[in-house]
Amino acid sequence: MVETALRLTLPQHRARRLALAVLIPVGLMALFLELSGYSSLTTARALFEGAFGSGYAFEGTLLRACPLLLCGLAVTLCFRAGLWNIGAEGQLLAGALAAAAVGTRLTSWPVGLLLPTALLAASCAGALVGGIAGGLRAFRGVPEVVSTLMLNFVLLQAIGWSVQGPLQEESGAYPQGDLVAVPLPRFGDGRLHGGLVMALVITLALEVLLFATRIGFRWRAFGLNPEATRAAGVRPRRLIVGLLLGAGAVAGLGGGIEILGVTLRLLDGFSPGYGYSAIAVALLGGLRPSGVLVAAFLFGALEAGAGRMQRFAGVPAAMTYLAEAMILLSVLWVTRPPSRRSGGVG
Amino acid sequence: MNRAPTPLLRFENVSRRFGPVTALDRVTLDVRAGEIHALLGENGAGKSTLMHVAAGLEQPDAGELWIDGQPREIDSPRAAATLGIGLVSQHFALAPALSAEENYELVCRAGRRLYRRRDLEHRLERDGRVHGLRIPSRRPVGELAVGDQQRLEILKALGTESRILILDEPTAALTAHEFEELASVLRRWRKTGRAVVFISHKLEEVLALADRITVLRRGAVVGERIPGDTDATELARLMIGETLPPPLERTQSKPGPVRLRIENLRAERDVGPPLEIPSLTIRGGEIFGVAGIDGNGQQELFQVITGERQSEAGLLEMDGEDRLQADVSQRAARGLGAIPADRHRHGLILAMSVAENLWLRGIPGDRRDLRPRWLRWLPGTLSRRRLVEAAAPVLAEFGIRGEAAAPVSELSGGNQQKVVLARELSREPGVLVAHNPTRGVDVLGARFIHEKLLDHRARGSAIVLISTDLDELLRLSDRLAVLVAGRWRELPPEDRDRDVLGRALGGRLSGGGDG
Repeated sequence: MVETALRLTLPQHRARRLALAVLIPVGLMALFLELSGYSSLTTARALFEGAFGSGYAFEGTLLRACPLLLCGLAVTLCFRAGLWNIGAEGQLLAGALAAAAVGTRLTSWPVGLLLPTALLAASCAGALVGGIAGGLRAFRGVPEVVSTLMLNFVLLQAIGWSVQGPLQEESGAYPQGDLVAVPLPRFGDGRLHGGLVMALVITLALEVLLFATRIGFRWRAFGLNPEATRAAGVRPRRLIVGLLLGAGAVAGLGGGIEILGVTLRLLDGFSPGYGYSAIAVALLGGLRPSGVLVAAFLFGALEAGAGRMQRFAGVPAAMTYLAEAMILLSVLWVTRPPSRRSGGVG
Repeated sequence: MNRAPTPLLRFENVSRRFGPVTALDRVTLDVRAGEIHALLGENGAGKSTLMHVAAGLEQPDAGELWIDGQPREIDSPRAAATLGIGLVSQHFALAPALSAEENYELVCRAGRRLYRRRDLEHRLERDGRVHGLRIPSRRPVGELAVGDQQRLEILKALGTESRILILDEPTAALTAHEFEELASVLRRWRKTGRAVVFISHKLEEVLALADRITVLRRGAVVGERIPGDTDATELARLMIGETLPPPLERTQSKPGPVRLRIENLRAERDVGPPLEIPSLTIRGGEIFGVAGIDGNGQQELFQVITGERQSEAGLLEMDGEDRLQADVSQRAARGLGAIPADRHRHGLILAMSVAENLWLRGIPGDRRDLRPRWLRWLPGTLSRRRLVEAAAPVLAEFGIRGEAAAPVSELSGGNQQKVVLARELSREPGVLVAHNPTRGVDVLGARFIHEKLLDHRARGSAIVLISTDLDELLRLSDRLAVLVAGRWRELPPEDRDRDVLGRALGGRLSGGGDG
């Protein structure tokens, strides 16, 4: 599967393939909408306006792209090394939980210290959740696919419990947390927050880490042939645990940024499944941080436009998930399988 | 007979290119019923590619295939099977977790939806007996010796009622005794009016077995001979385009200090009795040969030395220091080099570039000149472009034909092996362990590898050479041991003889490694 996704990055015919990968799902969606009695043009317009139609709409796109990007990066790191981390959602939720706890319970701290602490706590919580899966895989051989997925459910319940228990707002009126004491700084009077800059910096750093460092080289080598990499002297346990810790930290930070920058309080169900969409984002981005950036933006736009699409075209917002799924499937479909033989000539 | 019979299989002007490489250049070749047709050539000469065309694994860019005088399109392995073409590839196509009888059933279906395991076993045994191929059943195929796996592959091809059986380097991992067994099976089978295509680069085998020999060089047919009318010298000249240099001379060894010492070592094996080595001391400047058929503890010995496998008891010292508990990277850091038997699985990362594979062991001392220009200040960074540049002299030194930036999978087998060799030797290992280092490598390539090993011996490395190739062992080793069913026996110097060695390995071992 590493190689399946990597085929996206082959330069030959890339433009044609990507055009196909966009045109096929668009065509199918249009057909589907028309058959269901909606106007596909109206829908497309509403979707576009919802994502880019105004400054406010564009902000919405960027804000949704941010957690998708960070979770997509977490998935990318792991997939590159052949570790199927589908627990970005749980890692994101853990980060959110930790940021909310610090942001509402340590209010006596000075703001300059509290904000970094909250973000750090978010990263650490995400890393902890990722690290559990990594440790289980490295030392007990538990497949990370299973453990990361299960941990998603654990964290989902943990949030549900927290907003009705220890982290519920003082008034106790709704199942939600208090407003955090230290929201992320914003640009001007818009909704864009400093977390977006952090996400961009992390994207760049991970691009360098994966493709221009010795560590990234080892990770990629491990993903392509773990046995040979092990025989070459790389310690697999250290690598697996380290990677899942790192990936968890990135996704956890995404959760922290979402709480401190967007929702400003812990809400049950604040994530519409960013961590799951991130798997599609990572694959669509060709498992490259720079590609993930583009894919996160695309999916962010789709999800931002969904609300307007529902209101003005009457098409259920859930249709965007159908669109996302079809985009991913068609991208994987247009990338051809490699030649049957992987050996040399002769 | 004046009238030439219609060939079973005919290639007519078949060409195939891979990017800039011409793998096949207008090859015309007949395979007749009742013959063993040897295809001889260096690695990269196009032998495998030609046979992959017949087996439906590759499509020719130009040219035609004729079966029984009819032009045919073979666009998939299934189409090839329907036409009666069976291929036993160099790299086996077996499901390692399934047993031999289950693998057999996968390909040669019994035609019943419900079956009992015992029926499958009986069928494997019965069909095996017909062709004289004995294969242990019930055990996962991945645990069987290479010879057993190969017998199973051949039986699979025979079982699908192939009329043309193609064997791609079938003897690469076989001992002389196993080769004789295989030869008698093929001779018997040929009598039934079918044909065998036998790919090899071992001249003696080809001369002993084939009815006709076609020699390929750089994708083109350069000659066709009958074994009675030719000899090894002529074939070698056709194959490599020049006269083979005289055999290597091993100089007197000058043993240095003890570099590797093993005492009372014991390691569990996946199957069979454990590997036990009472005592083994190797000095710098020595090559210690370990003879034996794979599956008798060879893999375990290799892994115990590299640190990939833990030994339960004993002593293992490198350069006088205890390294029993050290892991792979610690031992590598102390100067251990390793050339694994299966380069695709353990030696290389096929999807990565040649340059990256050369640096897979890590880069000594975080070289600044390998960092990207804009990140020169940041330790631990690595520029892929600089890696490619730094690889150029290594490629030249080891005569590796290929692009440093290209995926290593695009190289021929011999060149891939040289990449592994280059990586391990350029680290100047104090102790080197090599397992079948010339498996599937052509004459010149093997000679080059032997030269390099002797060169490092002269420079004071201690080399453990685990091999199934007796000629290689006798030519290179200063001392010899045999490893049979996990048991180690060092041979006294007067037993350095092909027959003695063959006897030590043969006899009870002929069935493979099930001890």
